[in-house]
Amino acid sequence: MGKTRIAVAIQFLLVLLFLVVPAGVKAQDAAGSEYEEYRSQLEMEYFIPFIYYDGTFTAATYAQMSSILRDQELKFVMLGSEDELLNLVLSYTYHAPFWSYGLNLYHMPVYTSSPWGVGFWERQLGVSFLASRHYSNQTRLDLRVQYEDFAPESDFRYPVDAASIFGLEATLTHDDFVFLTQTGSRGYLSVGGALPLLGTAYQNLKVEGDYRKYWSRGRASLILAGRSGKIWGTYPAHRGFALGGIQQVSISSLGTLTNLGFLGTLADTVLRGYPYYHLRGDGFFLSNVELRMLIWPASYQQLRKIGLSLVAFTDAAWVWEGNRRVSAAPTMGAGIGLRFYLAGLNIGLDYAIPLKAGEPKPRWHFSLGEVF
Amino acid sequence: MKKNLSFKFLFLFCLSLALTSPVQSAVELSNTGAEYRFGQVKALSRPLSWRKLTTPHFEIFFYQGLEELAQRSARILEEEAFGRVFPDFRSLYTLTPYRKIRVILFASRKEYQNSQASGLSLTDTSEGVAHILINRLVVIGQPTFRDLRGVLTHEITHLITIGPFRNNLLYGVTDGVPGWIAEGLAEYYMPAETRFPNREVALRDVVLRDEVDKLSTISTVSGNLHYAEAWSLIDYLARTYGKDKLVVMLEAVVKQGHRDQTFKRIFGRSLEELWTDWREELKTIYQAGADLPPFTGENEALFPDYQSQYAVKTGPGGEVFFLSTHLGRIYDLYMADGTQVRKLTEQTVLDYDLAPDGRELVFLSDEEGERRLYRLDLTSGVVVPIAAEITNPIEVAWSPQGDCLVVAANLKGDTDLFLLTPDGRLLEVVADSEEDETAPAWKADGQQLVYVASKGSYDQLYLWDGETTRQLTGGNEHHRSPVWDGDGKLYCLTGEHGYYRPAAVDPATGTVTTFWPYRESVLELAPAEDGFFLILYNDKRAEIYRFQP
Repeated sequence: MGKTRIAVAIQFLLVLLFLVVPAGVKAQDAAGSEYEEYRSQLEMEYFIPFIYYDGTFTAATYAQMSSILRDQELKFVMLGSEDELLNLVLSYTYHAPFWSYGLNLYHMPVYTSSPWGVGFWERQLGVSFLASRHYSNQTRLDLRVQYEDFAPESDFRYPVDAASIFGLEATLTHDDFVFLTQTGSRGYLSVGGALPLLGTAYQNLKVEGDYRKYWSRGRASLILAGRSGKIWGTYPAHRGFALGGIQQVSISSLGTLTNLGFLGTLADTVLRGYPYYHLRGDGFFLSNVELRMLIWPASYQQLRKIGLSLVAFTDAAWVWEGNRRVSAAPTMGAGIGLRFYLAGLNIGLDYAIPLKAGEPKPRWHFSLGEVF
Repeated sequence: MKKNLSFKFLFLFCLSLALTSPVQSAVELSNTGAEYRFGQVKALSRPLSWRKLTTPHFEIFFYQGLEELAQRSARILEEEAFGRVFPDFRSLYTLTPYRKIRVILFASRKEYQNSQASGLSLTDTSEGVAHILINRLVVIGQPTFRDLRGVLTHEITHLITIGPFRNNLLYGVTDGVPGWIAEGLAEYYMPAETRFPNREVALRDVVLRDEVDKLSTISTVSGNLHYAEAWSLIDYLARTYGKDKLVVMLEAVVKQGHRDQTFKRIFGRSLEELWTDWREELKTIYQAGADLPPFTGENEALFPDYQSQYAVKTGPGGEVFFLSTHLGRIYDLYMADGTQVRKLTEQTVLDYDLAPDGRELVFLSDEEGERRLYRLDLTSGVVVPIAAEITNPIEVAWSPQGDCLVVAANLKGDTDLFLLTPDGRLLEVVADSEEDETAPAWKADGQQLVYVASKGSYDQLYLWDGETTRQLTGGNEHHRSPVWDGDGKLYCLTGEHGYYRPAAVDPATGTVTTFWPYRESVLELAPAEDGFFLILYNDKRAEIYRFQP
């Protein structure tokens, strides 16, 4: 029996599961206006199955269950086809008054960069447990426990590991950035590490932080950003810190124990004027200065579907591998760029000059999503 | 390998579609906030104890403090909204009655925005949302009975009209319902007096400019104007071709598509022809004031950088106070002293009034979840909550002697007026009928108070002298937003069909005399030393101007 037939079988089981689960709080017959206590219970919201056969099976499903107040949510995505491993993600979220808890199970291929970036396919099998204390809209404490088994599925220019990792992490995040006025600040401080449990081999301590400050006057905004991280101990060869270009996917693994998927809302490391993975190590400091000028419309309040900004920037990085400095002097780049705002999507095109002897030529950098 | 890669990209694409917005983790679909490196999260200010009220067609979910609102909502939903809308669309349903509609009530915008149930962003400014696929409404408990009726009817109409086609929407079998039809029907079925007046103001403005939007633009439904245009067009179709054609049009558009042939079959006119017919009729409806000169042609807005502005008031030193949506919130409070404009508090402010000495002000905010009153010292910036003996304040006016506040509050589903000491102790009830009493305004001697209540289909002014109340204005026009100047003269705004003008009111006879020889509609007025500050609606903006009659 092929893997996809297993997928089809699972899909039918899921249909059964989603149909059998009782349909939530049973409505009391209309008998006056008696109050009932609310009981949180999952109900089906959507079930979108797709099975295709043209000599080989392809099965895809997206399903979501939630309670009436959405204090509980269950989501499921599955895709399988002939000769492919079964790919699935199952998530459960529970929102208490001040805490939110999440459980994720996944088995899927992940491309370790944006589709236009330099990366490789990695199959990941893992489970993560998240807990987040929401102090306010702007401030939260996130806790994470995660186990992941990973192996490369395609070639890469550098050695990559096939192994498993178990880790813990605590992150304090504050974000009071206001888009309409382009003011405020964003930052986080994270402490975490890997433990050699459940048959895993890596053991490390990782500290990392990021701070970005935004000022605005009229159409102009100035952004100062600083970012730093250090890992003590052993870690997967391809999950150290990587700088070069606009790393929109966190191959540096900052902020999480695993690769962060694709099209992040904010870029990870930004060192323009240099190729992807130009610098790699277990410690780094990165600073960015970006001046942004809104060309059209006249203000962010008037921004509807289309907008255009002009930016000028300079980036500088210091990277270490153990006690050895990877680059002898600060690695710097500078340039200008355009930011197109199309129906909520930021599309960036930057032209950057490497300010370092020996670097042959300027580079173009494409980005999708907010860089800063 | 090519197949493998394309398959993987297909998987990633499916995954991204499964999520409403790009996230940083492809392998985490849970929604705790911990998946995101930055960004803001939903955070409740207080635990909510949810309960449910069941009626024949609805399950109403509410929490502590909303018992009266839930009961009132149940009556509106059953007796008015459902009964008003469902019969016209019964033919779309195989089973009658169909499964119950879930209605989730929130006490304030803050709690609505911060709920997972709304499924909306923290900056969303809607009053309610209909989740068509899961037959669920989420609404803010409105400040007034009138607004509650309007919002509940509007959202119920979405579920009743689009709900039967949810499977078409979910699986993309056929075209969906374009925005102008969806929102037009919802606005059309609202009782006329519950439609937000500012929407028709916006409609009148574009009609006078001959800039009525095309259907594709209206269907984006991005503001008051588009709601008004959608309502007006549906209203035109119902009046011209018969109300029974609305359900026929809705079903045909979903099943046959939003194209000329569909509309020619039903109305004998193409979409463009219908749009042109409607636009021609609009010019005949909104003639009042069309021939007058524009005030904005020779006058500049005072604070053009602060987007839409509301609740303008003046301080004893000539300062100008106002609320603004400048930061995308409802609202932020500003004080302008000369050319210097500064935000007075980080809290969102829904209404406010100045102390007679101008050293502090009282404002109401939902920053802590439920609406509460606060005092703000304008010198130190210190904010102190008021432990008021009434809940759910909507508006506030500080008496000229400084010894009491009159607070409009919604305790039983409609808005009543209460007299409180500045520290929140209840002194007496000013007005508490089953209708809304709003917009209280003190006379400078503190002996009289004017407020607004509806009489028939129109809003009228009422005068309270501490013991008795009498109706001051009447007739077939609205009289709203009363204000007194320091000499004891009373003013208000009067008009209808989106054209409102300042007027002087004789407190003895109730005689109303307008004094606005311009075409723009006035949204608010505030007496100043040498005239008035006005908020005018002009070209999609509500802004403060200085006006000397």
